[in-house]
Amino acid sequence: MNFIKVKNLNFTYKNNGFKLNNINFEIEKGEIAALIGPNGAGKTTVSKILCGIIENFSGVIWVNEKNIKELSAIEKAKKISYIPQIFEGLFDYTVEEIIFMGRRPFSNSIGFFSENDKKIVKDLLIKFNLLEKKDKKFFMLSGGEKRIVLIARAICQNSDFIILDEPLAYLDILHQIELVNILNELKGNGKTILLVLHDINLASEICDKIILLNNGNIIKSGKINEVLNKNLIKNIYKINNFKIGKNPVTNKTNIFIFYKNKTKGGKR
Amino acid sequence: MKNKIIFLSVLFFVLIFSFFWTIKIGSINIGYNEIISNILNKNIDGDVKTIILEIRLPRILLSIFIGGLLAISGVILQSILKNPLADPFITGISSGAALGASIGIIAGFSNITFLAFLTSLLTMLFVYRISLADGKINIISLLLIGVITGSFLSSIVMLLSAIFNKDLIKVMFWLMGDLSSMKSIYINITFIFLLIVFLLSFIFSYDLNILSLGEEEAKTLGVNVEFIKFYYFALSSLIVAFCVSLSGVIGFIGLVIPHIMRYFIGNDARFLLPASFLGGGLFLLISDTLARSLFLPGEIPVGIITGLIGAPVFIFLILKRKKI
Repeated sequence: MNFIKVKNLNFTYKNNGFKLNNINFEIEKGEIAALIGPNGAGKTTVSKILCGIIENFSGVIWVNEKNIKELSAIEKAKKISYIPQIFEGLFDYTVEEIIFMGRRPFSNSIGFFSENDKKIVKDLLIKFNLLEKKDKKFFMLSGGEKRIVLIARAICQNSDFIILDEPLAYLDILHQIELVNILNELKGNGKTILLVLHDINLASEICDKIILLNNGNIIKSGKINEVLNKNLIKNIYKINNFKIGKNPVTNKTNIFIFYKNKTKGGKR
Repeated sequence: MKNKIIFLSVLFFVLIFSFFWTIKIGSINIGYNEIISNILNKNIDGDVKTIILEIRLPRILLSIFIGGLLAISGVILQSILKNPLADPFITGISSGAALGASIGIIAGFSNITFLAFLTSLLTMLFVYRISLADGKINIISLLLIGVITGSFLSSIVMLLSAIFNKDLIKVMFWLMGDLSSMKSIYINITFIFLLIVFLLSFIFSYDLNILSLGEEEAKTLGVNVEFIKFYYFALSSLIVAFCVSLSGVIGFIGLVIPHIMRYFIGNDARFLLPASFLGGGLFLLISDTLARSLFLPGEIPVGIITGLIGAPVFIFLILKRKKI
């Protein structure tokens, strides 16, 4: 059986009527998969259902042969970790405090941590070069550092399935590369990863599988080359000014967009 | 960690010191020798003994307990409502108590505490029931319904005091927070309530930390979000109902003390709860001592003092934080 299996997933938002219609897909163990699609396609909704934030869906989701509807909050947190795009916390905590929260599923509601928990957190602080910043307030960090702290927290959860919502948003090129390296390393350690992405080329470069959503439906899922074809992109994104080609360095399929200059004869 | 424990210890000793200092202060100054000899000697039945044991001690102890409890409920409500402006009175429960208290005062009851407690619990149930959506507490609804219910009930209190205006002053004094009627019989029950509530607030304190990151994130970290929200809403409501029924509406402590403590000790509820208890107790103790000794032989409602000190201290802290 596949590591992640989503079968006949249906869900409707009560407030605006947006629907997910009969979503089916699978992800193999150790794969990096991407949910892509236009704004409002339902990517974030699917990811929130998978990580247990939205619970009143119909259909079945198996993670490592366990139906997630039958798992308690703590059991879910041990199997699936989620890294949101935006951190919505109101009160500030230190880097170390935030990372420790990833050990909550193994600890208790008072937060008494074992020596093992402390060692795991310390090793991660060292691994991600955060040891000197461990007492720094999270809100004071740069966007890239924040993302890395949240990834460290997700690794603390020791789950085999990690979901990241737009992990590279707001990051400069250096931090993008750093983050992709981390993702590849996690994959190397046998973790299964699902990314919610807008950047199709990034999905093509680092993902084993693409799941293309539009209007709450899965249009296609599979290998990059199978999904990325000209007509599909044209119909779904409603654009014309693009070409599909190969990245000259990696030889992966990419989309090249060209912007038409509307003000003819203008200096720009 | 070490610094936090040192901070808590310092706060504790300042509170103990203030306890012994304020017991001397009042319309007559009593020396420590006299206090000790009077309390230790069972045979003496003098005025001094009565003043110490029956008037000052209950008032001092209860101001510490109530100040601490209000600050704890402030910490809890700020975390579950995810709102830095939340204070114990934002959910309308205190206005419920005010309604019961004013009815009691107008009807001429000798003890209004029980009626105030009852009406505040009814208000809590009403606000909770209305803010449920699909069996879950909707935080935005809870805030809005709390504020609106609060102002509705306050209007009724105003209406009642306008109609029965001979009791207006009594009602007003109660509304401004009043510790002058503290009796020694309240000490035991308040102390037991305090112990239980403090323990209960501590049991899920780490989940409270995680919940303040946002409900969605808390869920993915294994926190049973709906349970924690309900648990802490019920707990904080009980605290507010208890305190307001005893002492009226003493403002600013539940809002300001948690923020001052956050500034010194951080946002970890496991340290913030005890720190806020100590800080709230200390703050109300000092405020009440000023309230009963500034305008001798009369006294003013302690709510006026907490507002007069609390607001400037809070603004000072915000300005200081801006510079950093």
